[in-house]
Amino acid sequence: MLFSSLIFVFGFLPLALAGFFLTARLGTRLAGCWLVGASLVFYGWWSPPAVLLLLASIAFNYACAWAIIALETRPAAQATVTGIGVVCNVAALGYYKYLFSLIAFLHGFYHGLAMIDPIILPLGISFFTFTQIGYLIDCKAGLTRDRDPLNYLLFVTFFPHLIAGPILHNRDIMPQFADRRTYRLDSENLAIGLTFFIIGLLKKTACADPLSAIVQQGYADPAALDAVGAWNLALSYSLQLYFDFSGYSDMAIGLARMMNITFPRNFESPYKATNIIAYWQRWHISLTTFLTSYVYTPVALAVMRYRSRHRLGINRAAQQTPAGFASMFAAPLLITMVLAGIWHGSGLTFLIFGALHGVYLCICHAWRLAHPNPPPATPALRLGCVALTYLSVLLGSIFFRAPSVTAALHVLAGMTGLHGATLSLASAGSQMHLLHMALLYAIVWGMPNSLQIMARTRPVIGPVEPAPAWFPAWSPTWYAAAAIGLAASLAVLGLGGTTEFLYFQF
Amino acid sequence: MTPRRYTLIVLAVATLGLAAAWLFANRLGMAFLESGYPIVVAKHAVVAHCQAGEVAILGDSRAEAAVIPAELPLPAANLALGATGPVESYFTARALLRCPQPPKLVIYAHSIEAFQTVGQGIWQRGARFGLLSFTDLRDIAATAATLHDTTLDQISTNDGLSGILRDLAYSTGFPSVFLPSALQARLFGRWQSNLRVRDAVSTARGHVVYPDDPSAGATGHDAPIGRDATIGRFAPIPLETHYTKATFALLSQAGVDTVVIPIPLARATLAALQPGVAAATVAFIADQTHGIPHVSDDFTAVIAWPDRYFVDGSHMNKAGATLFSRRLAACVTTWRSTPAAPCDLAWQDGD
Repeated sequence: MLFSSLIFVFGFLPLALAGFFLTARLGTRLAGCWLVGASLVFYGWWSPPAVLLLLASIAFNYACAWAIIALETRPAAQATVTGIGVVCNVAALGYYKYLFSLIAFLHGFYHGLAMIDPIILPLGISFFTFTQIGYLIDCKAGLTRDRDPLNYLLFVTFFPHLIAGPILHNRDIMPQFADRRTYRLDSENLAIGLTFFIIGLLKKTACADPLSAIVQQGYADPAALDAVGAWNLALSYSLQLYFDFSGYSDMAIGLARMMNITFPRNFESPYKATNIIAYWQRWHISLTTFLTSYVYTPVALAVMRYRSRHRLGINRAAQQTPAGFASMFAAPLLITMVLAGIWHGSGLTFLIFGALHGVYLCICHAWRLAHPNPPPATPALRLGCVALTYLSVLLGSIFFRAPSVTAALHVLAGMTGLHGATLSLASAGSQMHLLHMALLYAIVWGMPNSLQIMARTRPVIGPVEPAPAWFPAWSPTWYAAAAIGLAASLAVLGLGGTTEFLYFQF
Repeated sequence: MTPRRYTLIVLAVATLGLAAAWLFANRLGMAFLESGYPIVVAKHAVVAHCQAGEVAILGDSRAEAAVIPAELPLPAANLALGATGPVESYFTARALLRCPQPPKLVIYAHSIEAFQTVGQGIWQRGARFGLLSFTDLRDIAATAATLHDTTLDQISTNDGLSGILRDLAYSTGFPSVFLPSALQARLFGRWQSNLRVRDAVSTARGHVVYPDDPSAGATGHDAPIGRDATIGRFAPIPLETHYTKATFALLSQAGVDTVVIPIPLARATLAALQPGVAAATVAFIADQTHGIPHVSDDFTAVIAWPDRYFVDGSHMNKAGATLFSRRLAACVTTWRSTPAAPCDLAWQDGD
């Protein structure tokens, strides 16, 4: 079920909320069960059999976690069980997400290899698998405290994050489900959650969705695009992706908050980033955090331990040597970012997307090593940095969206004028489209983000940068209520042209 | 302000905003809906006010373009509608029969494609334009279920809805299903042109003049070739078959004479038609009409007229429609005395 569908807004959400708070009067366990049930209905709406896979995954991982904790005094056995658990999760992900593509790829080289039928990708498998891998590793590290099975079920299945994230950390969420206050209707949280949800819904229906037709048409025949058409396509997609994910993240925060749960931040004005490191600290933050904790840091630490054992040096001077940089920065970064790329999908395009960002990050780190004390940034320099970062991200987004590498190269060829460089405004779409794009860029670069606007309400776990002084911060006033109510009307009106969230496919 | 009051105001403003949009969408469709809407309004008014006269034409866009009621010898109304099929024609026939004096003769003409597909038009035009009610849509869904026809379930509309919720949203005119049209028209941008279309269609008793558009052909051939040529084989779906037969049965029970006729295709289109499609269509019509009292089958062949009488290989232009309607007029005169009399609508060099 989509957050931005009529059935969700007018059917599922009111029922789920009412049921949660009503059953909570009879007991918090009952309310928890209601929420699990509602989340399973939400998950199974498109494909009921997929619920069985989700439940099997939860049962398997909970059993592994239980065994890991029980084997606390036997580290070798504990490590084995953790390893089995992680491998099985990765294998399941590999089977559903990559097997068909891999066999099709190999089939191209060796026709004797039998093809298999396409495997239907269960929704959100990447998200709930990563969430649970993190839990197993934390169990092994002795970091998990709450082991209640119902809280675990809620942690994995809670519908605001189940299908497209954020990737939750058990330490952040399970204690909240264990807290009895979570199960009491809190009118302030309801008001804050509703506001977030409406802002997100408006971003989705009014900002992102109108761009989907242009993006679909463009990628259907990228070879036909001239320079203006290709730039229009690339820019349109970058905005569609931004507002789609930003809208989804706001809606997820809002839905969770209505039920007194606070989510971690997941999206924070990434196109305002002045370098690519900052970009990844603002875009899909929960994925970055996960990959940093469970891939980048272990790999980098292993490299450093190896170098330390072999007296190769790990200090700044060693990092500035080509070999030191390659082993301590480039290798862990490239491994992490290639994994981040293929986490999104099995195609070669995702691999290139990941590798490209890995290279960007390497360049950025190398620059920092070479310029440890940069001069204070002037506004012009900051502007240039933002533009350069955005253009780099734009390049990556072409591979991220393109159905094939050939299609991506066609778009790039178009952008560089190889398919004709006529300055035809007709290729850029209607005046309405151009106005829409201009408005979206004004929002992206000229407005504070939702978290900043709502900073007073502590919308996410951790500190939030407040909105600039010129922008009125949100508070429950008459005019704020009227504006949000109007935004809700507009957002609901936009549901007629609803398309899927882009991150649902991952 | 307390959070509770804040939430109530948000919900109240949202409800008011939606109510206003609902009112606008349902009361002022002429202001923003696409040009198919005023055509439906004009024809719906004829049916609602029982002004169809003695002859009613049911069918799709090809019949809508080809038959000029003013050329017929009896008071007539062309109630054929573009992008509709036998399903919608059934409900139009049912509405006609509610009149104290329904038409005496119904001329039924659907294109080949209409029998083998059902599309978004059921909701986008049928329900959104007020042609089909919620009950009608549920009837259609129930019929499809009985026939094990899954075509309806496979149609996805942009709203992401399906089943009863989609029927409800479209038939009650939920404003979100109107938004794309409203934005396209910038809210009031189509008012004048829609009024002109409605008045023109009302004056022409339902005939719609299709504008010349040579690029509308399916293949970009010199002589435009119509969509029918893209049909690989004739495969009618159970739902359209059911409603075709149901329409004939309904009219028959009411004692209304019905004649099924072919609307001409352009010669280029007929030449490009896949082998077997024409014969299969003729056989299908014969099968549906066979043995039903008051129903005559004049669809004995898929006929073609010279390409110059078409705008796109399928739809007749005004000159073609005038000539064709005159030929049909002669048939109507014959049918007045002998309803089952055969009538040849094929092109004759003397025309």
